[in-house]
Amino acid sequence: MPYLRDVRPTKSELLVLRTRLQIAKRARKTLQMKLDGLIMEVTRLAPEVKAEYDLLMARYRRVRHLLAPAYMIEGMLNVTIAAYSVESKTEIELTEKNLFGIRVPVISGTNVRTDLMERGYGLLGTSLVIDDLADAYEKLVDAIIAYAGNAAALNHLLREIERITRRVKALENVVIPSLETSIATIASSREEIEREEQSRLFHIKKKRE
Amino acid sequence: MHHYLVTPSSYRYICTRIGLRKKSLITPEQYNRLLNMELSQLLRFIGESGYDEEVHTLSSAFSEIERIEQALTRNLANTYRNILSIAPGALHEMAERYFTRYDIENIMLILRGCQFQIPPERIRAVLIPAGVLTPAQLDHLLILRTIREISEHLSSWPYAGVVSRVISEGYRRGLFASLENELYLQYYENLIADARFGIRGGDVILPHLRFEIDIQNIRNVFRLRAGSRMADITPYMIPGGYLTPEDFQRLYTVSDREAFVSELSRAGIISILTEALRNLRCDASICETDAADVVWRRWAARKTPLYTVMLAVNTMLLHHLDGLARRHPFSVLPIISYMEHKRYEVANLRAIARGKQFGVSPDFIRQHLVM
Repeated sequence: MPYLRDVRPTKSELLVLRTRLQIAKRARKTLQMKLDGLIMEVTRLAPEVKAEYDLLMARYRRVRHLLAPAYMIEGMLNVTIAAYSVESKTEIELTEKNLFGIRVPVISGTNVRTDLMERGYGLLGTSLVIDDLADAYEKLVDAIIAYAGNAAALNHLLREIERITRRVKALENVVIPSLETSIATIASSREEIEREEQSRLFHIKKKRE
Repeated sequence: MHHYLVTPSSYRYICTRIGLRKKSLITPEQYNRLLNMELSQLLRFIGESGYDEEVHTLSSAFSEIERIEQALTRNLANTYRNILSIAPGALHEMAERYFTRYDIENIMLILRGCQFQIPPERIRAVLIPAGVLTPAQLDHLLILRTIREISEHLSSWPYAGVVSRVISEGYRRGLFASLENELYLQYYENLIADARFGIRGGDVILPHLRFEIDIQNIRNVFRLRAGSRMADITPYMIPGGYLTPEDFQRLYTVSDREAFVSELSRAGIISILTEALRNLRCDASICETDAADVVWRRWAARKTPLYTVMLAVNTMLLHHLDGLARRHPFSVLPIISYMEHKRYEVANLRAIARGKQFGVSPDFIRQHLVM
């Protein structure tokens, strides 16, 4: 399907199309470079995210593994009370950074890991398993924050790669070929017109003679 | 000075009665059978044993696990109150002072429940009214709206001074932790003073108390090492054990294996841990060097000791208490021994029920039983 329709075979139109073609080629080259850069960034980031995901899952399994003994030793409400007693609230900060012109989120947390004495429950009224469980949950939250930031950045990059790839493909397979076709059509039309004009002039000249 | 040797007949009567009750507790063989039961079978078992009244009064609207847990807690509270109601004179007094620890637990639950807006019925379900405060008093505290009001209504409680002093300025971060620590420190101080000079025949409880304090301190020094960076831990160590807070402070700063092992051996901790590990792993060949290795690895990595090891230490504490109770059959010790056995029976049944709920293996559950 031609990209442009109803193109008038004029000189000015031809110049416009040639300019457009140049811009399209330049845009394709720039986007291709950006795409390469993004792919390199994703290649660098993906193993990091995978490692963070593995760590997150390992910590989640550790929490699940500790939850059963905590309920077995302390009972449901004592675990709940210990959880309610925690007074240091984790704060999540969300900022953005620029990566190849794309704004990707940066997630960081403060107050994630706390000192035993600052958690809020008393040392003398609780047991070891509560410490272990609290510690495991803190580590899990830490891993979630680290994973969430990089995974969100990776998702943004992948979406951007998909979008740019679509644009590069469109330029490569639709815009540039149709511009080239249109330019070729105009060029051939103009040649045909020139030939007709030449032939007409030739016949007029012949009649005059 | 052993006044309990001149025993009135009521002492002999109550101690014999307690001894008989102790025999009716669940035996290790029965635990082995329970480990292979389903949750519904476990509920039926406890409904047919000493917990029938509590199981049957609970609504069937609760899930099986909730019914079991609530029945166990209610039964424990009823048992404690029953024992306290039949214990005469100094026995009653000493047992009541000893079980003031449940008052502390209850008050902390009520204060936290009030501050964090936990429904009172949920808190009521786990209260164990075994100390000085009666169930009616605890119920009254549960309906109060602020921690200051609760503090004001505690004026008759022996530890009211500590509560009102700590929460006089209202709620702030770290308030409950410091209050809880202060209450327990005061509790042990009062109990030792009562056992030494306050109550006739109270001195027999001292060896058990000292052992218990040491175990608590060992546990806490590991916890502080694993989870805290504070330099001075003496305010969190309970005085009155065989080891002083200064001994634990010295141990806390040790980072060399040789020094660590020698410090533990000198304090007699290695022998306790060796025995606990032997019991836990059912392996008599475990020697002190093995135990020292296990403990050192956790210490060097700044980790808490395995909670299963600490449960095995609790078993030793219970056996130590049993030994003392046999040596002093007509003192407060048989009562405390029975109550501790009952507490662990409830804890064991809860562990089995929760273990079944989480679908863990019987062997895994067995490691969490104190028997």
